[in-house]
Formats: sequence, C-alpha cells, structure tokens
Amino acid sequence: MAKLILILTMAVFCFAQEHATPGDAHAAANGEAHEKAAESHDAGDPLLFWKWVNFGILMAGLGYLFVKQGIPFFRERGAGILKDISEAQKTKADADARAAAIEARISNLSTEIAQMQAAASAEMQSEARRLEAETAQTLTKIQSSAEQEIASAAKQAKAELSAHAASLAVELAAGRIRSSLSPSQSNGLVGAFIQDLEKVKN
Amino acid sequence: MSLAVASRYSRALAEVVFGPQSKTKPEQVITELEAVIEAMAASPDLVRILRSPAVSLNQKRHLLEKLTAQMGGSEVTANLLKVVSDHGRITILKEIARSFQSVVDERHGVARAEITTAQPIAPEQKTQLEAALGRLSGKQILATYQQDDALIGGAVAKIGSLIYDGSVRGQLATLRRKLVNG
Repeated sequence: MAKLILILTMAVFCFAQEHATPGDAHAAANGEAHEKAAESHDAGDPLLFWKWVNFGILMAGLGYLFVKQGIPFFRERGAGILKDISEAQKTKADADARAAAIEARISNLSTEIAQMQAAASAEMQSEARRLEAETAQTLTKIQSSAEQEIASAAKQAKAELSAHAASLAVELAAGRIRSSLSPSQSNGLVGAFIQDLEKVKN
Repeated sequence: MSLAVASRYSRALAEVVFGPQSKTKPEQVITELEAVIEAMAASPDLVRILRSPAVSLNQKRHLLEKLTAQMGGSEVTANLLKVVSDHGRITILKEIARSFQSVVDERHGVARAEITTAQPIAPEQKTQLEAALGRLSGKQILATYQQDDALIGGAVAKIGSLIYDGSVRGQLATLRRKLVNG
C-alpha cells in the first residue's frame, strides 16, 4: 500500500512537472496574456509530440505497475475483506446463537429456580421428618433409660431401706432379748440347741 | 501351701508312730512337739539360727539333738526335727504338729469340738451336748468351751470346718436375711 501511494505520488509529480511552464505565473496574473500564451503554446510547441510520448511512456509504466502490483493487491485486499466479512458474519452468528441460548436459559431460569426451590423444600421437609423421627426415637430411649434408672434406684433404695429396717429391728430385738433373757431361759436355749442337733442326726 | 506340706509330714510321722515297731506313743510325740514349739517361741535366736542359710545342716542337726536331749524327747521327735530342718521347713513345725494331732484324732476316732456359749452351762448340758455332737459326727468328742456374750443366748459348736449355730445371734441373723430378702 505504501509502495502504491509512493508510485502514484511520483506519477502526479511528473505529470505536473511536465505541464508546468515559466509563463504560467505571469499568465495567472493577467488573464488575457494567459489566453494568448496558451494559444501560442498549443500551436507552436515543437516538443509537444515528445511530451505526449513521454506521457504515454509514463502512463504505460504506471499502467504496468498498476496491473503488476495494484490488481493483485486489490484482489488480495478484497479477498481479505471478504474473509473478514465472513468471519465477522460467523462471529455474529455465534454471538447470536449464544445470545439466543442465554435468552432461552434466562427464559427457563424462573422454571429452574422454581424446580430448585421445590426440590429444596421437599428435601427440607424430608430432613425435618427425619430429624423429628430421630428426636422422637432419642426421646423414647432417654425416657426408657430414665425409667429404668429410676426403677433401679427405687429398687436399690427399697433394698437399702429394707436392710436398714431389718438391721434396726434385729438390733432392737437383740437388745430386748438380751435384757430380758434369764439364766434359765439361756439354759433352755442350749437345751433346744441340743434337741435340734438330735433332729439333725435323726 | 504350708498346710499341704504339713499334712505330708504329719502323715509320714503318723506312719512311723503307728507302725508295729514303734515304741513311742502319738500323744508323747505331740507333747514333745508342743514343747519344741514353745521353746522356739520363747527363743527367737533359736529360730534365726535354724532358718539361717549361713549355718550348716550339721550344725543345725547338732543343735536340735541337744534341744531334744535336754527336753528328754523321743528319737522319733528328734528325727522329725532333723528332717524338717534339713528341708528348710522348721517354720511350719506348728502346722505339722496340728496336722499330726488331727491325724491322731482321726485314727483314734476322736473329733475336737470348739463350743461357744453365751452363758456358762451346767455339766449335764455339756455332757448332753458332747453326746449329741458325738452322735452327729460318729466320733468321740473332745470339747473345749469358751464364752461369748455376743451370742446373746444359746450355743455354737464347731467341729473342723462344720459349724452348728444354735445361738440367738445366729437366729437373728437368719431373721434379718429373711426380712431383707422379703
């Protein structure tokens, strides 16, 4: 591209140089003089033919350069532009597809949210039921254990109380027997023991 | 453990004493053994020497020979003491004597009874009690009596490992067990 611009600039510069004359400045200052000079210039320039030849060569060169460099350049440039346009279209199609998918997803989002809320609600209810059942089971166990412990403690207390009462009763009885037992009664007890021994033998 | 060992020694001693060629009476051996035991109890130095590993067996034998000679002990008793000392069993001499007494009692058909009463009892009752125990055990009863106020009333007789409890204390204990067990 830069090369082409350079060539075109040089061509314009050459063309301008070719058509430029020293009297142009004065002609610009005076219109009539200019017309007269132009007439005399067109009619009497002996180098006009060569100028045209020169111009033709120049144009031919320029044409050659245009055909050799410019056409492939513009063709390549056109192909690149077409390719870019194609890629842009493809990208646009992808973006459109994505946008459509996102829109579709967004449109289904409320449904999904509702489904998720329903699932979460069902799960919470299930968990609540499970916890409720577990709590009830634990309560039953604790109650049963507590009842057993209470029963055991009551049984033990009853046994201790019974033992204590029995000890008190026996101590009381021992004291009374000791205080009221006469020697004859003591001998009688020994005699009863002897009779018991006889019974054991028999 | 020591009772089993003592039983072995006592049975061996009984075989010697009750042997046909024996001239020593079992009661004499028992008396001599009790005398030696009393002497050992009175003299800790004697026990220390007999137990000391620093004193040779011959020295211990010589010491025991002198001891039995001074006490006028029989040859059977002297030999028993030597054997027991040689085997390092002099410390269980008391158990040996007690076990030998049991063996002698058993051979003579005698049972020793420990009778405890709350109050002193009349001689007639003692006779009746010993007779009842004799019929119960099938042996002649040699009874020793002692008194224990804790019995409150009645008596307790012990023959070997058997205990016959006819005391008020025992009856109250039975009553207490019944009250507790409902």
